[in-house]
Amino acid sequence: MIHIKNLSFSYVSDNPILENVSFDIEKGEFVAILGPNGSGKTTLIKLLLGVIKPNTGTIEVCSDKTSKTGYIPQKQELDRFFPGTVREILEAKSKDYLKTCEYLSITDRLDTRFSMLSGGLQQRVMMAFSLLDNPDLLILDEPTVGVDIRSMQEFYALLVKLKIEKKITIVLVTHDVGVISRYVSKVICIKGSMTCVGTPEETPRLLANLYGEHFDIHLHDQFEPNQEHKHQKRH
Amino acid sequence: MFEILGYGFVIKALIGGVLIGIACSLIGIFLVLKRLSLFGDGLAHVAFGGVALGFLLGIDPFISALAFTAIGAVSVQKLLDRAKLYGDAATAIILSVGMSLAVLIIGYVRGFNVNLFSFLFGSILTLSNSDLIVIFGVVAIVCAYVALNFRNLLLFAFNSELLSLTSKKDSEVSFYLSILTAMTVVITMRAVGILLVSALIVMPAMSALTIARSFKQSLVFAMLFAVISVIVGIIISAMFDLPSGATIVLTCFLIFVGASIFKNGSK
Amino acid sequence: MKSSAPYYKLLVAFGFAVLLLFGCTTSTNRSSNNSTSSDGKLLFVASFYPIEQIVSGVAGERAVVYSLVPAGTEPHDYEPTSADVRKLSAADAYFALGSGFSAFEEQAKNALSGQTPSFDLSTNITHLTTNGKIDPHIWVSPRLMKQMTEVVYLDLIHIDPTNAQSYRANADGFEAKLDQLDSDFATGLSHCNKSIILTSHAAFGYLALDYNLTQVGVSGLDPESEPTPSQIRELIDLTRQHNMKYLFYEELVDPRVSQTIANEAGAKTLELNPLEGSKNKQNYFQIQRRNLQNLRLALECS
Repeated sequence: MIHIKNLSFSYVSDNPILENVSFDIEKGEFVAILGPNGSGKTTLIKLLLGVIKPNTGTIEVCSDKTSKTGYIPQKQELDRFFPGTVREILEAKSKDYLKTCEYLSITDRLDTRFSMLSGGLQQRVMMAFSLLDNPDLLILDEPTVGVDIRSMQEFYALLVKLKIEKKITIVLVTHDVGVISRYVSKVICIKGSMTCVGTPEETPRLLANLYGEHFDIHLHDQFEPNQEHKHQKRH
Repeated sequence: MFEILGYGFVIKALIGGVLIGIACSLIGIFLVLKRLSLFGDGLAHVAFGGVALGFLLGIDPFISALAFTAIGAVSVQKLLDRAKLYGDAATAIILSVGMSLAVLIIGYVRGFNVNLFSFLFGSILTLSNSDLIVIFGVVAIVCAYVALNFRNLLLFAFNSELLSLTSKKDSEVSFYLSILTAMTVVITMRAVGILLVSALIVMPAMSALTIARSFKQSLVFAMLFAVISVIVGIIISAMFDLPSGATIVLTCFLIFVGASIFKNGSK
Repeated sequence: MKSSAPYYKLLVAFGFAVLLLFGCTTSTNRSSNNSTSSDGKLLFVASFYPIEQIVSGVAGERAVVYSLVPAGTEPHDYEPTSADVRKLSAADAYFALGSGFSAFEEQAKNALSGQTPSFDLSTNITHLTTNGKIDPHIWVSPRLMKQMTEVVYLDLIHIDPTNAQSYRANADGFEAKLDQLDSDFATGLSHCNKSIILTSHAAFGYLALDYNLTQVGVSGLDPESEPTPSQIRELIDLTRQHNMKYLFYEELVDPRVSQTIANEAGAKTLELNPLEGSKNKQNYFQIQRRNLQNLRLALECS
């Protein structure tokens, strides 16, 4: 599905954001990408979406030409004056939106102003939007920041459902270490030139590699509040 | 009371005002949603620099104002995209640079043959036939662009990042929107005065966004409010012997107050 | 017409205040300088065009006369430059119209250095009042111009008594030209079918008084206020009622109001220059003669 080999990227020549990154994601995997702020996660998303091209190395997404990539951006500040309804937003992308809405059970909200919906419902609309052209890869950029815990659980449950029922490969960029063990099949940690790949159970070891310090993470805890889960340095 | 409608200048004011109201309110929806409410006012000052430059270089000041304002508008968008400035900061920068350029040129030439101010600021009561033709052309272009690009414009207003990452259309949309705004602003201030530029861009759009239940509705309401403000404003100013521009602005404001009350009442 | 005018006026006033402050500090530093220019001529500053015309007419070769408001600028739109403030601080005398013509005339006096004399030329003239406001446009009348010329002559012999004779000769010459202009107006306008001047800027009250005409202005005395629909309508009706074929507009002001009225009433527009500035470096007499020509055309004189 995704094959990245020796990929490097920089906006300014002497300040590489990503250096020599290599990893593979297979079809049907649910992958979490972890990394500190400024580690190049958003740049990686842009590379995956093809908005920017790598300086060196190769990036191969969906070798099957017909497949498409869906994308759910970070939740934006709610603009209460935006008047568009759910139907108008979805229609702007595709006329054929009813099936997706039924699947995500938002049909009864179609004629509501998007700005009137709760954070959880707004994210579900964003998911519907990204699923409109039947992608087989879904990329999500911290999708649940600012969403309450219950809606967040529903949202991840939905992702798992998508993975199982629609065989969609899911790449989730997140700070939320708590979700990893529950849903994810693979973890990729990046920080500039360092990339480590492992199973969810290996997350503490991966993060320790990345930060060069010990991480004490309770993987089977409930969801933790939305903030960076980088623990304090211990000297 | 309505015998004043027998005068051609009042009819021209009504036609010109309605057309300008339509263009300004359509553009206004997008500017207000993008937090660029003062963009129109800023561009009006840039136009001033453009007129001065036109006189200095011996170009038709109307053309130079249009070109200069379009450059200013696109620069604001570039400042927003590249340098990630706040919208109001970018507007303030362009506004003051345009204005200073005008002041410098005026100081350098010392004494223009024509009154710069009067070139820029018209009155809705003195529209000529050629003014009406130009206004009609601009309004047609604005309406056509909005109608043909409705989906992209909606997504641009909704979430321009989404638009840029999925279809790469966002810079195209913001470019054309800037050009259209520049055209609308220059023509509006030339024809009916700077006072009406900001008023017709911001207030009908804001009133419409407050009460509309969908995006299409907000566009229709904004046009409707602008048209009503212009017609009612002109008729009231004729009846009570008041300056027309200011009366239109106050009518816009009353509609905005009405929309806010209606919104709170229906909650 | 120009709804944003008050805002710009504020800016202009602020700019002036800053420049004055600047100018005053520099002028005290340079107070020891000899203020006369290098070729021995005196430096006189006039507030605007007609004043400059009189002062240079009387002073002749003896002085350089500098006008604060540049030739092509409407005095209402005037913005001072730092050069203006420097000229003021170096001036040997400053001549203004006075009688509250414009705030900048008074403000400019603050930029003069210590003992520099300043003169108001209109103090002895009886002013007309229109709508409760004093009409300052006395310079459009050649007769009042002659009175002001006499005032300038007296001021100059006071500053520079040694050259009194040459000032007298210059003043006589200038006054003779004004007399000639006056009689040309009087005869040129004596046999006319019409006697109404319709103009976008009611600046011709004194001219109308001298030659038995009636002035109707579009927007009162201030060329910057926006007309209301009924004002425009009234002028359209007047134009039709008096069967006027011509309507006047002002050189330095946007002619659109006059054009709108003329279009609607089936008339044409003609320029009537209020002599507040000149765009082609024409002198007072040249402009007035063109005014006379246009007046004769509009009023259908024989």
